[in-house]
Amino acid sequence: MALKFKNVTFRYEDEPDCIMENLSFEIEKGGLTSFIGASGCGKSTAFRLINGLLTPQEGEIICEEKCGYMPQHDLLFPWKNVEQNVMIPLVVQKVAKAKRKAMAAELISRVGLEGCEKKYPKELSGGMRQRVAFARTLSTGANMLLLDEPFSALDSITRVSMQEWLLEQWRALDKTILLVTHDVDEAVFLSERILVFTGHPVKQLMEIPVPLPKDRTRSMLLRPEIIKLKEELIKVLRQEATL
Amino acid sequence: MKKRHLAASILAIVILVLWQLLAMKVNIPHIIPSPVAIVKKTWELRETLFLVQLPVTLYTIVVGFLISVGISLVLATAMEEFEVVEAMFYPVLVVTQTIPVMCISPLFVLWFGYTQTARIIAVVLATFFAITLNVFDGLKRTDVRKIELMQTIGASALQIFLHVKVPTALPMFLTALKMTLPWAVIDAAVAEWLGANEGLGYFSKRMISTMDGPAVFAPVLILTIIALMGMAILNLIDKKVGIYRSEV
Ligand SMILES: Nc1ncnc2c1ncn2[C@@H]1O[C@H](COP(=O)(O)OP(=O)(O)OP(=O)(O)O)[C@@H](O)[C@H]1O
Ligand SMILES: [Mg+2]
Repeated sequence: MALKFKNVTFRYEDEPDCIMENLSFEIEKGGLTSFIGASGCGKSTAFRLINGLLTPQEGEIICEEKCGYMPQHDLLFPWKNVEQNVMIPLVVQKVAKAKRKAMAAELISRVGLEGCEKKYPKELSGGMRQRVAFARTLSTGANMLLLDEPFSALDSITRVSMQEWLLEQWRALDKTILLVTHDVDEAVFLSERILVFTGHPVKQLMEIPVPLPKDRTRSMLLRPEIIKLKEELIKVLRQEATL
Repeated sequence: MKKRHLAASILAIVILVLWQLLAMKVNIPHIIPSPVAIVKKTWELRETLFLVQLPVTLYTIVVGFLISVGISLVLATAMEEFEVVEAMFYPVLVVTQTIPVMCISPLFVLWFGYTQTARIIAVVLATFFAITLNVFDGLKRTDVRKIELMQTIGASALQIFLHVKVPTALPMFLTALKMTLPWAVIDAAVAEWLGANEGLGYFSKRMISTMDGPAVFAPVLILTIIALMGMAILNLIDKKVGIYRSEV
């Protein structure tokens, strides 16, 4: 087990209503799990609780892995080039210069951006920026990656290829990935397990396992049981939206 | 960019030529000295201008500007880091910024006499409000989400300051320098007019009493060149920041 929420209740200071109340769930090691839910239901808040930016009023969050957080917007530093952006966590951890250069080079080639080391964020496409942000998340040395809507700002074609790219990365790296998404297709294609955020406040997560193998292809999304699963998921989300 | 430089150069040359023609037509050098006469005079007076007066004025400008930048950076950082300091200084700064420093420069002469200290203080006062306010606003612009990202990777307050806040504020800092550098030059010269027995401003004033028009303008020419050179240096630094100026 990589992460455990135990009866967690959280409310933003000065807000009357709780975001989550008495919420419990677990995340297994090595899996790829999606959080899905209507806008404003508290998915990003859950991430901020996991990485320690927020603390719950009640309950306990047990996280045995080191977390790497990739925020909702890539938040690359425009004054640093690709290499320097990837090295930020290493600089913070005071890794020696030669070593961090070598580590950054390896990560940059892992995300397929060799030759772009000296480019600045504004010279990169949206997909490339996300890959830099991903490499920066990896360079924290984290075993659990928290990806908050990593592809929502991308056009649909880039998004599809980035999803395939992320699957490859996940299969190659031995990491636990948690992913927030709005997109049903994305959730189904990427995850082993989908956790649906419902209700205000969120009291429990609805769990939907995805019956697809790890090395899946997009055509598998056309299987009848997957189509049915997607329809159910959409139905649940729509009920939420009208609430 | 090149085209714009060319356009500006053409206008400058046209103005100079018109000025020259007008001066030749009027032909009263102490009323309208011609550009050529000014350059000639500058050359004739080169020894006193460049070796005696210029170093004095340049020292006032450079030392005053450096002190001003130093105080500004410390004060702006303190204001950003501690709310009490902000509450205390910000309103005062906004109000004092509107005081025309040139008009109170004579006071410094009263207090400090005909000294360089008085003139350096005038330069500091002329520039430091604007620099402080700009640096402070620049620091304030820091994206909270970037700070949070740094916190999740375990960055210390100092690391966050150096890697996020300073780069965010840098473009506004440079803007403030570009804005206030000419003020520093002007105020140094005016302070010399008001109370000094050395420096380019003093020299220019002395030449008025001798009715030597070109010699009045010669120090002005040098002051202009100093300001332009300072701006060129700042622009060079600014080019580096240009990579992200629009993105903070
Ligand atoms: N710092 C904050 N202070 C007070 N309320 C906040 C704060 N941040 C978020 N909220 C509120 O908490 C709720 C949950 O926000 P959160 O960002 O977790 O939603 P989300 O599920 O990630 O939404 P989205 O899909 O739009 O990103 C929202 O109603 C939001 O307005
Ligand atoms: Mg969110």
